[in-house]
Amino acid sequence: MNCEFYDKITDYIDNNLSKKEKENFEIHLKNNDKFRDVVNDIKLHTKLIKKLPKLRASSNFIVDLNKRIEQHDSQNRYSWLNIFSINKTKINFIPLLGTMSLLLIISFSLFKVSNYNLSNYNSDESKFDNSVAINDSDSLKNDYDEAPVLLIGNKK
Amino acid sequence: MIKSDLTDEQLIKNFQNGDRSSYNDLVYRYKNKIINFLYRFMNDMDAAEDLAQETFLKVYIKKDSYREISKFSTWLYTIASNLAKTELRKIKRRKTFSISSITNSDKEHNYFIDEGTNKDEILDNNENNILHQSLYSLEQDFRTIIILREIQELSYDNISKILKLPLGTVKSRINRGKLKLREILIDKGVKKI
Repeated sequence: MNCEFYDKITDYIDNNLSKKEKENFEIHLKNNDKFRDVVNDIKLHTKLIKKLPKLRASSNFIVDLNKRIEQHDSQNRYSWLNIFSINKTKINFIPLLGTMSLLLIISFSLFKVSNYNLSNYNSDESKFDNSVAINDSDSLKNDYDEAPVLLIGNKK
Repeated sequence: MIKSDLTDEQLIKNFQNGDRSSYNDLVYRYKNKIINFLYRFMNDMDAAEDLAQETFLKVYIKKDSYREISKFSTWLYTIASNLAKTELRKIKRRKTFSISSITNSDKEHNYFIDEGTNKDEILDNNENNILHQSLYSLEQDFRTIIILREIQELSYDNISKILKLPLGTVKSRINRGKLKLREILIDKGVKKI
């Protein structure tokens, strides 16, 4: 089998060979009876395959497809229920319990965080108050420092 | 613009933007082509219908994963071809595929001949069966390529994208596939159909 030409049979049939390639192919075709038989058979088979009857979808194809789509859509719509594995008759409690615990942990940690923030806020506030108090006492002190002068003045 | 004037790519884009009727148009445009491809590949009309619906359902579900870098038909045939290969693997695993099922489905397919086909051009049933069975008995790789090229009339470039094979490999597989098909037909005692 001359691979070089056998590999080009389809390209020859489809008329996809260059001028030079086509010339060489046809020379080989002319001089080789067996090869010519093969090419003719393949030409014929290709033609027959193309003529195989074209099939069409059954009349309920679209109806059945739409049913599948509806089924998919409704499954998707209620997919959140799958978390709880809700069946027609029973509820699987293990995933339900797991989800509840998870929610509990999340809410507890959120509660802790908010408490922490509140206590931080309170301590900041008291710090602030103290600083105000210190400033106040300073000002009082200043008042007091100035007071003797006044007293002295009064004595006079 | 009339919808029939829209390209596949425009229709899928419309569908991605929420226009369901564009999806219906694509289904109408391709349902028979996909059925043909799957029937020749699976050799079973029921399986072909089922897989064709599965293919279009996938298009519906995965519409957003289509990107306009490739042709819509390439994407569609890739889905169909992957589903068909998976189904054939399942069938082989179950080992329930029997000759009788082939015969039954062959009888069935006569009910589905496209009204648009010129009846004079249709080969006689026996010749069709010989050719169809010979095509089906080809190895899967060769069968897929020949169906895509000669029945679906896709370009080498498209086939190369669908099967994720280099162009050279596609061409050489078509050649080898046809040579093998010839051998099968000769083995069946058919020199000239």
